[in-house]
Amino acid sequence: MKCSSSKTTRSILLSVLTVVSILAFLTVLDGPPTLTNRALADEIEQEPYYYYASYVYLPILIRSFFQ
Amino acid sequence: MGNHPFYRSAGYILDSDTFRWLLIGGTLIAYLAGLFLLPDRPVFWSPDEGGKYLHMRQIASSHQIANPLPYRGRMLDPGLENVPLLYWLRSGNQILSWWPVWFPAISSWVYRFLGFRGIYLIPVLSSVLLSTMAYWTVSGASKRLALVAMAVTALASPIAFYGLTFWEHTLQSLLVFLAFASIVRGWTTESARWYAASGLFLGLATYLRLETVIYAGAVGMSGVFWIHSRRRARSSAEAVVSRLAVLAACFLVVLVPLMMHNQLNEGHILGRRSALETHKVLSTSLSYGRTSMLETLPDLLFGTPVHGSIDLVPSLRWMFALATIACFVAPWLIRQNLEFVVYLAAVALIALCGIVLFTPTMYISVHGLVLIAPYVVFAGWGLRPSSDQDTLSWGCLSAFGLAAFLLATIISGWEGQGGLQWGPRYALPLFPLLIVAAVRGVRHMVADESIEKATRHALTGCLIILVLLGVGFQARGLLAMFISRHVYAAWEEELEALPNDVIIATDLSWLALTVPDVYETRVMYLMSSEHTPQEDWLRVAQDAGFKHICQVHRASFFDLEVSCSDLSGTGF
Repeated sequence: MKCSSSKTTRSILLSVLTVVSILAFLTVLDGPPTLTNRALADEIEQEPYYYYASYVYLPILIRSFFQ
Repeated sequence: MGNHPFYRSAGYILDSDTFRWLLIGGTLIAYLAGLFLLPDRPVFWSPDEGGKYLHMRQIASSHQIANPLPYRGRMLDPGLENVPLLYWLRSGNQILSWWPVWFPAISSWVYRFLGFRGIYLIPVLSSVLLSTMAYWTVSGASKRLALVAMAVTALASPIAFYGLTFWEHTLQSLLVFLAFASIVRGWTTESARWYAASGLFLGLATYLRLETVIYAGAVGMSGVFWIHSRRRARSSAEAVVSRLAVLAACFLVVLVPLMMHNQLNEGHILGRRSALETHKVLSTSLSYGRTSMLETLPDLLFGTPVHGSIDLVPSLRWMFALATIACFVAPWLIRQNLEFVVYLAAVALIALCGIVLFTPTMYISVHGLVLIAPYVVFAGWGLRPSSDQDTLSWGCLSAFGLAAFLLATIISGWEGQGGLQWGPRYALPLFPLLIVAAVRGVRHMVADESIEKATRHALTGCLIILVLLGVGFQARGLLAMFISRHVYAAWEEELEALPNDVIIATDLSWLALTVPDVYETRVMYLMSSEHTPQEDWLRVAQDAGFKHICQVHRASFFDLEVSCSDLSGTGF
C-alpha cells in the first residue's frame, strides 16, 4: 500500500516536471504560452485587464449591489 | 466510497443537513447576487440579447408576435440602407427580428408583470432547475454525489454564466436534459411513455433553438446503439425500434405547429432565418473539414482565436487536445497499466487551463468545450463496462452527444460557431450530461478496488482541481460580463443625454443591440465616419427638426467618443 502510494507520488512529481519542462521548451521555441489578443490589448491601453477589473470596476460592482 | 479518511470526512460533510442547506442556499444566493449586480437598465453583453429584448418589447406592447420592429430613422432612410441593427431580416420595407419568436414571446408575459428585472427569471430558473435535475439523476446512486453534481452544474459550468443572460440557452438545455433523462428512464423501464416524453421535450426545445436537432440525432444514435448492446438482449429489437418510432413520432407531432407557423407567417417551414442559415450551411458544408480538418479537434476542445477569445501557440493547443483525449480514455489507459500517461495528461490539462484562467491578457470569449469546464474529461469513466446500467446509459449518451456535436461542427463549416460566448453555447446541453456521466463514473472509480488506491486518490485530487478551475472560469466570465454591461450602461447614459434634435450615427454595428433603448428612442444610423451625407438628406433632416449629427465610435475598450457637428454648418 505504502509502496503504491510512493510510486504514485513519484509518478505525479515526474509528470509535473515533464509538463513544466515541455512548457519551458515550447516557450523558448514558440514564444509565451498565451498569444496576446492584440485588438483587445490595444483597446484597453497600457494597463492589463486585471488592473481595470480589480481597481476600477470591482468597487463599482460592489457599490451597485448595495444601491 | 473508499475508506480513506479523506472520503470518510467528505462523506460526513456531504451527509450533513447543515452542509446541504448551506450549499443549496449558497447557490441560490450566488444567482440572486448575480441578478442584483446586473445594471438596472436594458444594456446587454451580447447583441443577441438586445435583439430578443427589442422583439419582446414589441410583443409586450402590441400583443402580436409577427409585427415588425420599430425604426425611428425610417424618415431619413426609407430604403433601409443604414439600419443600425447587427442582425435583422427584411420583408419588403419592414424590419423583422432575426431570432425565433418563442423566447421573446414567453418572456413578454414575465416582462408585463415584473418589468425589466423579470426578464432574467426564465434563464435563472432554468439554470436552477437544471442543477436540480442533475441532483435528481444522480441521487438514485448516491445522495452525496448528487449534491456534487448539482453544485458543479450550478457553479462550475457555463450554465451559471448563461443563466444571467437574456437568452434561451438554459431553457433549451433544460428541455434537452429532460429528454436525455427520459430516454435513460425509458431504457431502464422499457416503457414507451418515457420515449414519448423524450420526443416531446426535444420537440419543445427545437422551438427555441434549431440546433436541438443535433441532440435529437444523438438520442437517435444512442437508441440504435442500445438496440444492439448486450444489455438489451432480453428485450426484442422490434420492441425497442417501435419505442424509438414513438419518440420520433412525438418529436415530429410537437413540431407540426411550429412548421405551420413558419410556413404561414414566414413562407418556409424552417422559418425565414433558419431557411437562410440552412442554405448557407449546405453551401459551405464540409468546408471546415476540407480546409482545416486537423485543426477541428483543438478548435472544438480548446477553442478558436476569434470574437475576442484567447489563444495558445499551436504546439500547446495540440498538447491540450491530446491531454483531453488521454484523460477521457483514462479508464482504458489505467487498465493497460499506463497510469503515468494519465497523470501526465491530467497535469498538462490543469497547467494549460490554469495558464488561460489566470492570464492577465484580456479575452471576452471562450469557445472550447473542455477549456471552459475541464472536469468533463472524467465523463469517460461513465463508459466502463463494469458500471451499473444507468451510469452506462449516461456515459453512452455523453459519447453520442459529443460525436453528434463534432459531426455538426465539421458539417457546418463554421469555426467560430457561437460568436461572442463564454463556453460553446450551441453545446450547452452537453455540459449537464457530461457532468452526470462524470459524477456517476467517478463514483464507480473510487469504489473500484482493482485500481490502486493511490491512483484513485490522485485522480480524485485532479478532478477537484479541475472543478475549481471550472468555478474560476465562471467567475472570470461573469466578471467580464458585469464589466462590459457597466461600461455599456455608462455609454447608454451618455447617448441618452444628447439633445433630442440630434441624429446618432455610428460605425459600431453591434451598438444598437447592446443599448436597445437608445435604438428605440433616438434616430440612429449605421454610418461610417467617412460617409458624407448628401445635400438633400441634410435638407430633409433639417426640415424634420434635427440640428446636429453625432458620430459615435469606440475610442478604447471602455470609452465612447462622441463628436457632434452642426447639420447646417460646414462640418461636412
